[in-house]
Amino acid sequence: MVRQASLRSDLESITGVENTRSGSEDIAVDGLTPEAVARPTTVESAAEIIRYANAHDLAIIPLGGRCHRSLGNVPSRYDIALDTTALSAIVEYEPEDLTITCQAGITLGALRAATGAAGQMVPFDPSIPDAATVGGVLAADVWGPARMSLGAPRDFTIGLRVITGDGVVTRAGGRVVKNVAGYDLCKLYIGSLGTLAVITEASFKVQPLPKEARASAFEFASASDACRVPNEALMHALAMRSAAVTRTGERWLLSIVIGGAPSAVERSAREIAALASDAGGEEPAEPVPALEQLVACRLSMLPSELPAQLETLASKLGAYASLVAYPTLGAIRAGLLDAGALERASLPGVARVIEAAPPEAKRGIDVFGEPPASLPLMQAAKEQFDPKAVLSPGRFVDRL
Amino acid sequence: MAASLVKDLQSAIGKKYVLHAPEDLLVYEYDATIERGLPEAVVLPQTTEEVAAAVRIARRYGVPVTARGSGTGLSGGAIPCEGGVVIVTARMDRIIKLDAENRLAVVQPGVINLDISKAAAPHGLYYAPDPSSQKACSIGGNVAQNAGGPHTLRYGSTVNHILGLEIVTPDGEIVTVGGETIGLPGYDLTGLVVGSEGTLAIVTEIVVRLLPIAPATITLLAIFDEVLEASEAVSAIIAAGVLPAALEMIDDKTMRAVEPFVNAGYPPDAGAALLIEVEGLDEETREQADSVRATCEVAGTREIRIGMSPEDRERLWAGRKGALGALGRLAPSYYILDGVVPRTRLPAVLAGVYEACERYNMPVANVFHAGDGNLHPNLMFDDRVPGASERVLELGEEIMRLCVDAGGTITGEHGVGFEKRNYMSWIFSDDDLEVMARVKLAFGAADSFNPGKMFPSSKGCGEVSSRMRSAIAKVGADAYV
Repeated sequence: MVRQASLRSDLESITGVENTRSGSEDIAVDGLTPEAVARPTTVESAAEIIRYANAHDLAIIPLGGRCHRSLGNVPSRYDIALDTTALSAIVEYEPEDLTITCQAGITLGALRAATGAAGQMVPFDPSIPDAATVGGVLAADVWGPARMSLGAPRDFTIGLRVITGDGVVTRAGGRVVKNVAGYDLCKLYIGSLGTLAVITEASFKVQPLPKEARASAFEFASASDACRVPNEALMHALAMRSAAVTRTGERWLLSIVIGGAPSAVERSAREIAALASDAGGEEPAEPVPALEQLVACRLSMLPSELPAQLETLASKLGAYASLVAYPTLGAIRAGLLDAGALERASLPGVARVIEAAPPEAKRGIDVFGEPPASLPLMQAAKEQFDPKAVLSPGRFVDRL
Repeated sequence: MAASLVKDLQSAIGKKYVLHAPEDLLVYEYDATIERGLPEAVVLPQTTEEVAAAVRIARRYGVPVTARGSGTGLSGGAIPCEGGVVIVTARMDRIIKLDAENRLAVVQPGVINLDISKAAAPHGLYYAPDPSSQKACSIGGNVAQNAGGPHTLRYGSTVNHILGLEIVTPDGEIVTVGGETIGLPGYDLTGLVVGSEGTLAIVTEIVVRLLPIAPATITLLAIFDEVLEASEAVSAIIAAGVLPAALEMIDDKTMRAVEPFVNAGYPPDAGAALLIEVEGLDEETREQADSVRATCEVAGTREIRIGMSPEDRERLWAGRKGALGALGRLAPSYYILDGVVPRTRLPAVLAGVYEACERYNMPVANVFHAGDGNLHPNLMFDDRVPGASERVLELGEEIMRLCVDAGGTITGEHGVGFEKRNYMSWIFSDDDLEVMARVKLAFGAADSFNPGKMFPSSKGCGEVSSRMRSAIAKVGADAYV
């Protein structure tokens, strides 16, 4: 362990005085504030910081837009914040190739602007905020209701450049849309929450923006009626981008985004309205303002089990929770006013991940729930990629 | 040792399902490549427990294990190149569950790819990845190689359609990774095992995603005078905002080879044809077809044929599907390459391929997934002519170099196997390969599962080139890539 003053000056010698500062509240993770923040401007200096941390037994947490840092267990140690936001260049973008390569510190907002100008998009969920960085979204594997049409990050990421926990700069995948050479380590890094490697560059498949998009909403008396509509619409191949069911008072609100070619949007809107009407759907009343979510969790289940589970959750949680269900995907997000409700926001036999909670509520529990059966393989991977547990120690499944 | 290895396998799996007589083993020494590797024993288990038992027995004797599906692979993935035990999944051929409501199926690895779609069809669903050997290839082999196919362009490869796996690790443990639901916590080991070419685990159960069958599909065949016009049209179609379900190219050599057998109606003087498929809702599909047609006309197509009915569409596909079988009649041997380049580099790389083949005086036919930039040059030669095999491999290497230099890769869907293991260092640094090797360590695999595959070999040059020579593909008349 090095003393604070020498840590600062050592980091300054790696990334420069102007890119180093003392730790502060704004980069805290679960209430822990690091000694120092380094904002490397090159991949090589980022790797040097990681090697430095290995040599001095220091713990690093990589941070981008800090939009999803509430995910994960309370870190066991946190000495250096590795701010990736200076690595924000678009490295290569050829719209006709339908691929893009960018550095991981670029914000989704900047990426959306660059691809939007060419009538294209990297298919990240539209609900992810513009301030989020590519690296953070990949590390946290963030997805939302549009996963049903756009896929998850694992589906459209074709290559990554990362620095492993022991400081090796390495590539996985490539820049072409189809590639089966070698192990697909992109899959391993995506969703690893900065516990195996720091992502510094990513290549994606891009796709054309929908020519037209429109939203429609219907209210139902039961969760199962609301959930049946998008599942039927999916079987009819209607042009649905996303579907979400939320609790509004005593009723259930189905919100659907339709997108694609104008003719497809027109027909899909008509047919979805007919399906909704057959299921007893009505024009929604005044929207109920969403609760501010201080505590949030996500539950995974089969789509067929979802309506009943949604009703159960609603009756367990009462009015002071916002529930958003993705009926075609089989996931429910619950926003809770306080951590006390977490206990009630669980269902027997259903996998749950707590996505946000105050640190005092997170301590003593594993926010990822029961470790999966494949935990020994995950532990072995952690040992291989981050042998000295320098990266985000304690934050992942089973406190890896 | 071999005798007691066989005896132990027999007591675990049943005498009838352990092959050890030399004449029985011969069947399992090759796949769709002509590389050979003779196993010491072949087992045909029916259950996951039997697979795990076979793995543990092989481990006890210190011999490697190679899993094998239908043996249709094009990179030597199923060849036991260091001997040992071959586990054949052919008897693990049950569709365990077809859950139409949740749009998924749980299948054993020996299930034939197309049989999943056949079983799902009554529910309006299908399994999207369609490698060209889908009537014969097993889903387990598809998972091992992360198989692609013509419709990868829109729907992605095998990995995009796998939710979870049951695997047997090199220790003989049975482990579940992923599951039937999405968003499960932990590292994405499912995504890691898919495409690991049988080197990390043996897959014994697979959860596949099923997709709704599109209500409308239109197939277009656009004939061009020049292959370069056709390859430029590929980018133009996509630039117009259309993402077809499939976008295939058939060059003049292929068309002329196919015509006598398939009667596809290809004009004898045409330079290339594009086969384009669009699908979705009726209106949208018609609009996309109109857009594709307009783009092809601007690009200089001389004739466009459109198929709306299943029969008409099948007829348009016939030439594409019959291509490899027809090419097989032109020369005693041929060597199929599998490179990928960025779409916009397709015209330049294709020109480079023709130039190189001309320089080698080696006939080449190109029939491939143009929309993905996934080239399949088929080099035709006579392996009985002294030196011909060496020259074809040299040429193949030069073509792979063209792909890599254009920013592409050495395999889009066939896998590395050992055919291309020494090209891995063209696209990955020593550090990259070392980091990949860590995954093997994490799985405890060392070299117990499918040794000699995927990673550059430290074996001597003579050894390598003899393996390379024998990796030249020799496939049946009804095969196609």
